[in-house]
Amino acid sequence: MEQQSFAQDYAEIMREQSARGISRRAILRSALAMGVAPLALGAGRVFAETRPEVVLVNWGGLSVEVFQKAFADPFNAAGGNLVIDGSGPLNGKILTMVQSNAVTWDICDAGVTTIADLGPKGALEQIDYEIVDKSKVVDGFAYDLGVVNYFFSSVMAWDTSKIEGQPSPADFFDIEKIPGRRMIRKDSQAMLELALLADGVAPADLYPLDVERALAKFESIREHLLFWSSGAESQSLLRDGECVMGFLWSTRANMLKEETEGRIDYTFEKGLLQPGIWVVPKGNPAGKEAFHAIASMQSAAEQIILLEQMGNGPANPAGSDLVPEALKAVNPSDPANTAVQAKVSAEWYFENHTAVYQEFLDRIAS
Amino acid sequence: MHANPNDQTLSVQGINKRYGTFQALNDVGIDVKRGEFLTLLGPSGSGKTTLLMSVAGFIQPDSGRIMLGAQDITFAAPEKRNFGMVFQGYALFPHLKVRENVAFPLKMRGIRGAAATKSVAEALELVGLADKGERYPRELSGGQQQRVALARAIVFQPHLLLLDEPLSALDTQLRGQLQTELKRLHRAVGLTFIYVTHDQGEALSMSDRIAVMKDGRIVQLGAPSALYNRPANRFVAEFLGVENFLPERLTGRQGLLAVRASALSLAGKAGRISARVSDLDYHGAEIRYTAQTECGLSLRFNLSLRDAAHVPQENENVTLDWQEKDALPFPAA
Amino acid sequence: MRILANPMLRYWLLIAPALLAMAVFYFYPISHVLWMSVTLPEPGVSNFESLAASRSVQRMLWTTLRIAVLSTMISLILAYFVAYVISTVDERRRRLLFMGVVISLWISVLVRAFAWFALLRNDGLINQALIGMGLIDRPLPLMWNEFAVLVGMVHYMLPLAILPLYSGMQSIDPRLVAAARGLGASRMTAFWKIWFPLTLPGVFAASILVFIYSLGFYVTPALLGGGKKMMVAEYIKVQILEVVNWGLGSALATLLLIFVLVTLAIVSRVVDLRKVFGAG
Repeated sequence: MEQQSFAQDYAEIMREQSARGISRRAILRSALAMGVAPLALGAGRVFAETRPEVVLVNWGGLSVEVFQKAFADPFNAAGGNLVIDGSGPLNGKILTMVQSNAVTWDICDAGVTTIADLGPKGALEQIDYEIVDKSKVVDGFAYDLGVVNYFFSSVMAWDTSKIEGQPSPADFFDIEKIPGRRMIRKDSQAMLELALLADGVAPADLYPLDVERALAKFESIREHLLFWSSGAESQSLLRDGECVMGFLWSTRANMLKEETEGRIDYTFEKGLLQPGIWVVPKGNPAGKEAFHAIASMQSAAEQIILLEQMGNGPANPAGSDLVPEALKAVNPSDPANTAVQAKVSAEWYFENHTAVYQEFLDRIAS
Repeated sequence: MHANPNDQTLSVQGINKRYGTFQALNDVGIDVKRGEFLTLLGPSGSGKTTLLMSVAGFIQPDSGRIMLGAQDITFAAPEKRNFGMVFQGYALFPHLKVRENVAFPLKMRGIRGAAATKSVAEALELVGLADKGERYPRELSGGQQQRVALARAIVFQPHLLLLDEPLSALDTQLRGQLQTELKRLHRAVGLTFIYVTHDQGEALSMSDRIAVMKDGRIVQLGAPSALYNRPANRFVAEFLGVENFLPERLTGRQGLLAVRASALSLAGKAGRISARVSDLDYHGAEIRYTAQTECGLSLRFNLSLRDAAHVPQENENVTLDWQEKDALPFPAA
Repeated sequence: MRILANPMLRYWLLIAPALLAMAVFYFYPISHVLWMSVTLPEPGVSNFESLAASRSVQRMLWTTLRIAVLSTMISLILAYFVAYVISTVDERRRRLLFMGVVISLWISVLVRAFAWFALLRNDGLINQALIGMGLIDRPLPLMWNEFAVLVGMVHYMLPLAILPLYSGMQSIDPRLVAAARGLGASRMTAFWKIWFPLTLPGVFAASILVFIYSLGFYVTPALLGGGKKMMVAEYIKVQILEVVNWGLGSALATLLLIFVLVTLAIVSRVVDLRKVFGAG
């Protein structure tokens, strides 16, 4: 199974929703965006050599269309030339491009671990904060090599038909109290944090992570653990009753709650708030124009479209006020939800991710 | 070892075999004499192979019995019958050396060691392949493979040797050579041979007796000379190579008269049939003619160049005649 | 055009595109992988040292080997029966069976894995049926373990094993078995002494194909093993695409390549395929 990132997963959610018949027009438009739009825009560039084309790469499917509507349309209306490409910016692919001096991407939809894995290899550009506005970023999420574009959470969900009342995160590791299988993501990021929070570590004291303690927690219930790789897998494991509890992305947890009419429930409590991040590959073709595009995408109004369509929390603090009342409960970065969650420390991951992920795979998930 | 393998005679008694609507064997009965060379002759689909396979045990008849001496072997497994068999295409085991192929039936009978080595050497000697024991079958020529198949079929001194068109894959010259060898072998080992072929020349030259088969029945059984001289019906006559069948109209007698091409000769004015030459072929000292009568009957006759005063050419009118001793009368149908 | 009159040259011109494609798309990337394994992050054999030192790598290699060997053996045994039946039944049934085998090749590995999930899980068909019949009280642990992995792997590998076996069996003259029986061999003896040795080339071809395929497999183990049975291919993918530790990843890939080549060399040494075919 391809290890799936959060960004890939929300692209998939969009595909699934469209498959359920949200809008035929939306699919059509998406096809136009994926197939025809880049060509049309590319051709336009030859005739009107005004501003360079900026290629933004995300994880494909209908997220291409959502990005087009939320980000590219407004930017292009203002004279820019932003193209959405859904081919999936895997770390290895970015590094291949950079090392072979054949970079065709300007902005990649990535995560904290992308900076951790690619930063030390010199494969990422410094974010130009002369152009990108730090004040439009929630405090602490503007990094040297990347800037937050939305928020998502890793949370605990459980099967209310098998568990009475709301379990505490500590119960996740108590097989005697609540028998049955648990599932976690086949990744160290967020899983270690959730384990430590469940073990009683205060959110403020989370970092530096006590990796040993977290791994020991998982080892204590290792035979009861399943590991999911894709968001859809996490959803089916809980839906089909293969697991009684699980750590998963809030977007999937929310979908489960809706489709099972509350049989599966979840909480942001002792969850982990994580940023989706824009990174710019070293030597990107559009140069500084990429940062103008990023700056344009900092608009709170544009980011709300992502929340509406996919459940991703806006990165611009001004966005919180614009969130409709009905969506506040599912917004990972809603003040009420951030208050009960821990925040990921990107700095810690920059230092430790590669080794810790390897350790996690070696000891827990293999 | 079998003290005298030919003590028991094989008797096929009224066997039938049906495949769907096709009657492959129809009340077939035959007693095989000890040590004889019996040929089952017939066109494809006549039942000769089905009969052989029933004797071998690969096909179980729907009714009737097959007896070996006093023993009913109708439903005995092939491996229990102790018959040697030579298959069409030889069926040598490609992964075993010639020596191992020949030793196979001995091994199956628990004969190993020096006794087996000796028997194998003798069998290979008998077929003239004493020096080929260490070869693999595919390293041998077709004729040599055929000899290996023979050696393998006789090495364990079987009751009977069954041969299913063993020479059909060989070219004409090699076939003639192997026919001679098979006859020699038959005399040398004194085994009963049951031989299947569709080639009447092969059958006539090798057999003690021939059973001509048609539509699942034996239509005539007898020595080659008897069959050749007195075919029981038009089918047998035709199958044994009689070319001309003269109707009442031409002969003035009831039924058909079978006359070989070699017995029909040019007759000057006194001949009983007039015809026009439509084709002629030179075969050494002989010319083979085809001629058409006025009523459209096609006749074949031969002319020896040595005796010929005149050599008729195409489109020439000729008169033909025959001697009564060379003619065979049949009922019309 | 005179140049084309030379038959040797024409021959080389004909195969040149294929050779070039092989060189560019096959040998170049492979040599690049070999090169990276001894140059990244620094020149030397440090990657191989860390592979040798890592207990988890050893465990993962052992898991891979165990699953590959077991699924090869089970696939071969089952495929042998299927191929035998296909090569002995009448033409109409043969076509039907053959179609069944080939069609299953076209079903995506993901679909198959989810089909097994539906059958094997706690509330799956098998457990429900067994509980319904009163044979068991609580569901059997059929899913998320090596059993499930093997079931899924064998299911995937079966057609790959059946096809070479069947093609081998089809080329065997059916009269050979009849001949063996006519010469005194029982049904079993004829099978073991004649039929089976003649199918050995197919058996080896199928084993090699399935074994090498199994070594590089990870979708089914990851899905049916509940993410707990990591195989070497998945490990390499993580190293290359996710943690971008290309040196270690390519070292492992090199190891896998060498292992496959050595296996092939040993097999071709132990089993003289030409001899099996009777070429001596």
